Amino acid sequence: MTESLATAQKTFRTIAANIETVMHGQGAAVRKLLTAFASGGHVLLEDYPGTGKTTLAKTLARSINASFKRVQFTPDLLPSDILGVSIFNQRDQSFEFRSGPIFTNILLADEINRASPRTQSALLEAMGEGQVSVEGDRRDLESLFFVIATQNPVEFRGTYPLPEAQMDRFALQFSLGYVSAAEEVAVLSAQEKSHPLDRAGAVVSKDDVLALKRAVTEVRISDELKRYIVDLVSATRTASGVSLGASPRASLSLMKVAQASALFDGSEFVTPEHVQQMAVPVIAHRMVMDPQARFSGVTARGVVEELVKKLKVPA
Amino acid sequence: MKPPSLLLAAALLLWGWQTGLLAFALLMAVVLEAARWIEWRVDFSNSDFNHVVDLCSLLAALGGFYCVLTRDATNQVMTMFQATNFTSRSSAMNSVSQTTFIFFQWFPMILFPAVAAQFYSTRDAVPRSCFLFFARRRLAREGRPQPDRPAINLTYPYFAVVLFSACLANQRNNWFYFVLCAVISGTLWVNRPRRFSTVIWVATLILVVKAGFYGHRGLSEFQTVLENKVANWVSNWARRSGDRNDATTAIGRIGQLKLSGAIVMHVEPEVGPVPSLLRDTMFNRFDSPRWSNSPRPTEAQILPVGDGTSWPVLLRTATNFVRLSSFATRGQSVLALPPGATLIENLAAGEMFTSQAGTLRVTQAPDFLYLRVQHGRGPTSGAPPHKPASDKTISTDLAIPLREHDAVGKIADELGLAGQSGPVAAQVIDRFFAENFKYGSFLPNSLRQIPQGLTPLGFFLLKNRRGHCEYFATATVMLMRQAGIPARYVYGWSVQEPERGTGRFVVRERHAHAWCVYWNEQTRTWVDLDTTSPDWVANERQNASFWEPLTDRWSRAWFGFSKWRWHGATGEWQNYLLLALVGLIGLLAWRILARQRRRRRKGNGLSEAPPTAWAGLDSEFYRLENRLQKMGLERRPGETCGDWLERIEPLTAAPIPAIRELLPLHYRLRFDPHGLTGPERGALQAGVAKWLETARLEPGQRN
Repeated sequence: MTESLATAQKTFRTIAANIETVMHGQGAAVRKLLTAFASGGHVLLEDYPGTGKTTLAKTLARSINASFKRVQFTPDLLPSDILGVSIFNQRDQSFEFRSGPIFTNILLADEINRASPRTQSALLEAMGEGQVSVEGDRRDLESLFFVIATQNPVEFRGTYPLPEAQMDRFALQFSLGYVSAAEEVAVLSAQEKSHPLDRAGAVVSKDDVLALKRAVTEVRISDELKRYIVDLVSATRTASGVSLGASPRASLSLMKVAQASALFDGSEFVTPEHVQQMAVPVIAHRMVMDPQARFSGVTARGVVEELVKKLKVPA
Repeated sequence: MKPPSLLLAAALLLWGWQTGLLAFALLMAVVLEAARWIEWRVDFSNSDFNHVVDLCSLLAALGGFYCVLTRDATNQVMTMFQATNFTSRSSAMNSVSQTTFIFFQWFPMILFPAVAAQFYSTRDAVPRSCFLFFARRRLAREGRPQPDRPAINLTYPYFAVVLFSACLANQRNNWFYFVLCAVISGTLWVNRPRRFSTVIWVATLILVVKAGFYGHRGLSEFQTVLENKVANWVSNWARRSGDRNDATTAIGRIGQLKLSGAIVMHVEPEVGPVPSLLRDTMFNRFDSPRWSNSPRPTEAQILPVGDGTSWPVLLRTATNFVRLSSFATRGQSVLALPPGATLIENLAAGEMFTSQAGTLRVTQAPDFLYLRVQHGRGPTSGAPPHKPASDKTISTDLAIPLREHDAVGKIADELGLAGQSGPVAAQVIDRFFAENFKYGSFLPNSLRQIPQGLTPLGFFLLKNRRGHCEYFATATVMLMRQAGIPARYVYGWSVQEPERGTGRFVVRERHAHAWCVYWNEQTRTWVDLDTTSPDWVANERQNASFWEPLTDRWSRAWFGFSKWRWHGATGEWQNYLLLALVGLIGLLAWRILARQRRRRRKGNGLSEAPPTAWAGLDSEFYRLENRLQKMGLERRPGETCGDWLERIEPLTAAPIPAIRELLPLHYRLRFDPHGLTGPERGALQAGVAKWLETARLEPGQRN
């Protein structure tokens, strides 16, 4: 293994270990979060209240010596509340730009489906292209820009479901789920006196993270596996009960996430396991199911799992 | 949702018991129930299910076709729509519904292939899309695959169909109800709510069964009462009864006489001219507006000669031959024959009766008659004129109703008929009608103002001088009788419309005709005298329906088909049908199984990946995989090597961890674009060889 890859893997592992001191029993979720982070994608966490979505995001931000902003999305939130606004300076007799919370390294968009579609789409450009346009001026975001959005699947009143286009911008969507009873007891014990989040400090620098991101691109992937990824994604377009399959962007994300996942495991190349592991969180949320199939209990997740099981995998 | 064992078998046996198809029921029950014990399964693809469902549809179509053939359903439906009165319509409806019942009784057999396919498939339901033929076609056109879901588990629907079919065949047996209840209770017992005690459940069930029993009894009694009432009301309206005891004419009726253009008969002259009139029945007594026979004619049986299909009607020979084709309802028919018919050939009937009224009635005949009739000039059937018992009474063949005396006498005097001989009187009367009368089936409302003291016939003779054939025939009979010549009224058909290009004549319902026959003392025959103005044919044709050419075409095809069916193709065509069916099912099963085998040989996979020469396909690792596959531990299509090894590890005593150590090398060979170095490849080869050696030393690895 080359030195850069070895260092990158170490960075990976360090962050993961640090997060796991705070998030008990969420190894798999941490791994998904970090692979998305390292592959340059954004993450949508969908889970019930109180499962630790916000804590996870905050712990990641703390683990890296990077700037972190949090925006609580509400129905009256305006795009300018996220992007920033120009204010007339009386003294200088000129407009000056007050940047919004989006100009940060890690952005936690909490309960993103509570904001109006207009505000949600303000995030679109930022997430897709790493830049924002405010009053006609293009402003680049930080080179390290990572959005963790959370949404609550239980409440529907006063929410605006994310449009398909926006769902596609998230590299991964996953949920944390409830931990086992023993793990939950451990959570209680850990927070008996103080919150472990307070003790968690930065373990890697921003440069380390940028190096990690560069290393991900060096992970090799064979043409055969690329073909497998494409086959898997295109199979979702013809699967029964699906009215809109996954886009080529899904293929791209799956490849990058698989690369990051391989790096996480210390492999210099991607294996079929890496692709299969990440297929559901990368693909499922981009699909639109037939209303009829949905009523009969077919989920996008189930469809992707079935495809993974049925499609001949290179071995 | 699996039904309790033997439930379907019980339902099928009930059905078999009721329909008399017990052998089939037993076979089907065994096949379906055996699926519980036999583990052999076929991996039906959607297209296989499509084929099976198509087969079921074909069976349904063939069943329907068979029903139509054997039960004459088309005719029944036609009768239902063409029926002119309530009684015949309701009887036609009855027979149609009976045919439908018979068809539905076969449904358990028709649906059986689909249900059996589900039972022996690896899936527990049949995709709904298989049943939607057009949706399937659309998907195929759009190049989209057929969806697997939603799928229908056919078990309970089939159970319901079997019970339904059993009910249709119910032989009015009280046991049936209780057996049916027992079968349904079996289903309910398995799915009963557990929060009530069994006692309550059983008590409720008994209550429901009892209520059902008395309820359906009451319902059927109510139906009987209602039917009797309706029959009473309806019989008052019935216009024309089916038998030939009398004929109620439309004399005195007002408005348009509507007769349909449906073809009832084909007449095909073979030797000699085509007979212009076909006699059906003769009547001798007129009570306006009804003709009847008095005294009631007695019947004599005619015995067949030769091979039993030739019937001598008169003991003389004639030179002309004509072929008649017509339909018989339920094997019964009154034959309409040319006057002077002597011999009827090609009629495989049970019995034939002739009556004094000249009627020929056959029973147990085929539903389609295709007769060859010998006929010619000379004596005709029908008893000679009635001789009164004493001089005081008058012969019924000379009787004129009192009410008609005035008008008939007046005309007879005008024409000077008294004392004339039959042929002369006939000529005079014929000329009289031809010169002074017009044909019209439409009787205007002005008829309401028939002058006091005039009967409808009198009004026709004296004032209106316009009417339809029944007026002409009745008036002629009366005038002949007034002249002292025995005469009768004949109901029958007029043959006048040649069919284009066939040399045949068609007889339509509107060609129903009435005329007069008088007794020629010299030749001792009944002679036809048709005085109806000859323009009646053209007149009636104007009433032809716009659709007539279309219905004619259908009718011609139906006649041809019936002829083929009853008289053309000899031999057991039903058996051929069955044979073809068995062959078809066999072919389908063979195709499905053959494809299955081919697919298994090819190895299954969803995508047809092009056979690209990917790197590392020559890896020695595949030898390990082959070895394990032979041990029954094959890798599933979507399973990666890592997952596979993890899955089979507890299943075998073979040293899996040793393989796992080799896996990274194999993976690098396969998926790392940089590949393996020479020594590494050597290590993989050596590792595989070593493992194969160890595995050979430890046979019988499977737990």
